[in-house]
Amino acid sequence: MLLKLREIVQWTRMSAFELFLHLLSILVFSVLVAAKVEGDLSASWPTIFAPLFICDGLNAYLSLIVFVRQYRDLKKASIRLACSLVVIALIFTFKILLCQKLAKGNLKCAEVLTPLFFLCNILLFRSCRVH
Amino acid sequence: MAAVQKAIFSSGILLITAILFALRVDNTVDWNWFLIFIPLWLFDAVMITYLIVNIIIHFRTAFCGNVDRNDMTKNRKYGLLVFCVLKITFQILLCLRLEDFYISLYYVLIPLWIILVAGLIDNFFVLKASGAYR
Repeated sequence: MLLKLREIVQWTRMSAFELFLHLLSILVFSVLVAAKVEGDLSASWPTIFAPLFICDGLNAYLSLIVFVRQYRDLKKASIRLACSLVVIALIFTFKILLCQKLAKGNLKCAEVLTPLFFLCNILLFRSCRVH
Repeated sequence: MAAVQKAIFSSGILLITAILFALRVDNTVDWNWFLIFIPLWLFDAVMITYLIVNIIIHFRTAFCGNVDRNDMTKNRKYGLLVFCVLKITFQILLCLRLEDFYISLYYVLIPLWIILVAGLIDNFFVLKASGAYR
């Protein structure tokens, strides 16, 4: 990649472990999607998306744990928690909307990608603080 | 390239790709999928040029401990170059699949799976070296 892991951690404000969870969930999800699209798996779309939702749940839980452990420095801990939760909420909303679109098809792609647009803008502003 | 420039470039590319993708899927435009992926091709071109220049610099300069100023060894740069090739292969296969060429999705996703597994292994070693939670 263009960026090193240290710079990605600084840029996305996710820890290396959170990135590890995201990679793992995307790997499992892509295998399930391939099986579903090729007709080898008859599970519903929410089931296919389960690894991604579990990953978001674990990430939110980890952020809360880090908040509790940094509680003595309340200001720093609160800022970190808010940053993490905003990103997790946007990613989770995107996944929910995508799942809804694939399951029922009643949403436009622009609507589904709206949380991602917000996330890209947040990353764009955050990238100014990477050094 | 400084880290801030790389980060701004990456997020800009991501944003433009997402916008073009949304336009194409909603049938607002009916461009070829290879055109929709232009920002990603641009990103790949920049990444490959950056890596090749870095590899050439590595050959021409005697770095202490074979590690350059970005803490990267020569083998890691070769690894990143392979990563780029796999990423481009995945994008080409995905474009072909979206353009109604019948390629099994398993074959399309094989380069992505290799990238993800390599990323997971790399990340695992970083986590192992730096403690239980980082």
